[in-house]
Amino acid sequence: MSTPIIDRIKKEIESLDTTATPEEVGVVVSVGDGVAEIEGLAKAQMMEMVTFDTSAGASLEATMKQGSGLFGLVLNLEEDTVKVVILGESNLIKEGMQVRRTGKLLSIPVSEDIVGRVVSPLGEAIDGKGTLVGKRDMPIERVAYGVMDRSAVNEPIHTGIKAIDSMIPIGRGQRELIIGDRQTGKTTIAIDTIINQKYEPKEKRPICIYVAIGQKRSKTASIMAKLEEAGALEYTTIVATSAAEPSPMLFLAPFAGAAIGEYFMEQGKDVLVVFDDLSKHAVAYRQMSLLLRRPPGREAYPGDIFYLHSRLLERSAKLSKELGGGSITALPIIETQEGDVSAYIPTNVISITDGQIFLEGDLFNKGIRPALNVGISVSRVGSSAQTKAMKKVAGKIRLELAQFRELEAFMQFASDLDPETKARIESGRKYVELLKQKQNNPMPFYKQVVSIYGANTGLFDGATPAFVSKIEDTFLAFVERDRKEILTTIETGRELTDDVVAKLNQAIVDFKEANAELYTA
Amino acid sequence: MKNAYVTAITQSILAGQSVEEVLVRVRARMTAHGHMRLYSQVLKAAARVLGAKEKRAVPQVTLAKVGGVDESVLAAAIARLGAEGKSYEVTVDETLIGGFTARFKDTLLDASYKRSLVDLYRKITK
Repeated sequence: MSTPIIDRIKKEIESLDTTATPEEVGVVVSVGDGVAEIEGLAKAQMMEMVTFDTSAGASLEATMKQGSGLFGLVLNLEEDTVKVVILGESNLIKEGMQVRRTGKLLSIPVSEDIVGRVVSPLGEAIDGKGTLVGKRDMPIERVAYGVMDRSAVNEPIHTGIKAIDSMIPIGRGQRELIIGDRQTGKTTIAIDTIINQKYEPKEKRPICIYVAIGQKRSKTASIMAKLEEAGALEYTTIVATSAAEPSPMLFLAPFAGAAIGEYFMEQGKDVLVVFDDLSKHAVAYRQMSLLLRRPPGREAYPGDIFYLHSRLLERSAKLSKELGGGSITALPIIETQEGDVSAYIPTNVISITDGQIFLEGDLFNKGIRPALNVGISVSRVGSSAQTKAMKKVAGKIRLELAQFRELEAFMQFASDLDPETKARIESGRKYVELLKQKQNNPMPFYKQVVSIYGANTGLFDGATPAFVSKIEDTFLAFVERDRKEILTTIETGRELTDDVVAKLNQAIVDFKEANAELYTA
Repeated sequence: MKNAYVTAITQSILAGQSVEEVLVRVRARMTAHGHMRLYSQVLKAAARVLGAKEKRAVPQVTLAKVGGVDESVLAAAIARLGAEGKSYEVTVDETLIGGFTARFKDTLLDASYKRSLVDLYRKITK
């Protein structure tokens, strides 16, 4: 055995305090479905952690093998008993077992080392890369920052998705809901946003937290692999819970994500948290509440389901300069059934968030991906955070698409339409093509600006919609190769100056001249 | 259903009513509602709850071995738990290795070697 370990053990033995202090204990009266009823613990607080004494009658060796013990979370304070959800294997709990108070509200240990790791909602590493040592215990539940502690959202967080960054911009500290049916690309948008942060300068790059709530383990593993492959795992933490875990763990997962985010936000850093997804979170909370015998309300959800999500999402904030100026941007995801956004949980979360990105199955099946319905997607605070360069080019795109949607129904009568309507439809189709993007292929904002500026100023004139994507790729490659200064100026200055505009116009002319074959096809 | 009967029985008995009287009333009620199939389960549960309450009212001391801890130390521990001068029940649990645990009502004093060693182990391996 190495000397440092022996020294540490000796030091610990020397400072060992063997004086016992009285502690409050209770006894398990009944246990079932992950919930234990405990008699005693009269002074227990809501959300306090308690430990079950699974070591009674067990040898020292067996007790040591049990690790840090089995924890429970106090959630119901009743007249003679408290009800506790078991955060682990409930089959280890027996009637008559002793339960000790810890005096600590549920919290998770967080340090900088948590970045790049996969953790459970209790902050334990589950990626096999060694244990994590926490610097600070962050409370899972806490009151969100007040009005005076906050500042306005004024800095953008780029998703790398043209349709979002141009028309539904998201600001740092905003809560933007991603909503849609299953298999419409909700998670993809969130993952692309995380991947896109690698294009941000290191000092401005937000720390990303992906919270998987009741997801299939295979899905979480594939997301982890995608992030690793894209080089995004180094600034991302994954809080993972699978569908096979007890409902209390699913209930805690997003709160753990928020707690980790707050650790970094309080250091003045920017954080992006993805809650994937809050529909499953609501279902887990419903299950837990029913087992705790709380009265059910609409769709059997407990009465405080709105409060549950509002207090979670209120924790995303942009702090004032005095408090360091850090932020938490939240991207909660909601899965709808058959596009029904007026169901209970979707309407709740829509009303809590600062905007929503609607994804539609029909658009997805038509090959328009991301399947964004730009007509009903909104961002309530993001426009003030948009870069000047993007703001300048994005105005036209929304108008063009709105006109296109109105005329879309007439597309099948194309031969009977007047030339002006035909031209509008053609232009709209080109914008739709331009906004299509491949999965896990986010585009840095300066390239988006160049692309959209090109579309606004005739880059695609004379080409068929089928060639838009090819022309865009070729044009961006051309600019990157021959006119790199345009991209660098937009990236650093975040503005479209007259000089850049002139250079871009010249680049478009030169490109069209050099690539005439793309326009005659 | 069962829990409601158990609560009724235990609270009535703890309130000072005679056991016979309570049981007669409960039987009559259960018969009237056709719940007599639950009767034996209700009685068992009520006996367990009352037994646990009685046990909690008496200080409990657990030792690793008989005579392993000085009587005066135990008396001081019992006094710290607010049961000064009360007689206590002693049980033996060899897995404690040494020392003792004392419990009265909802308060526990764990002065066992096992607890100290487990705490030390958890501190070192943290």
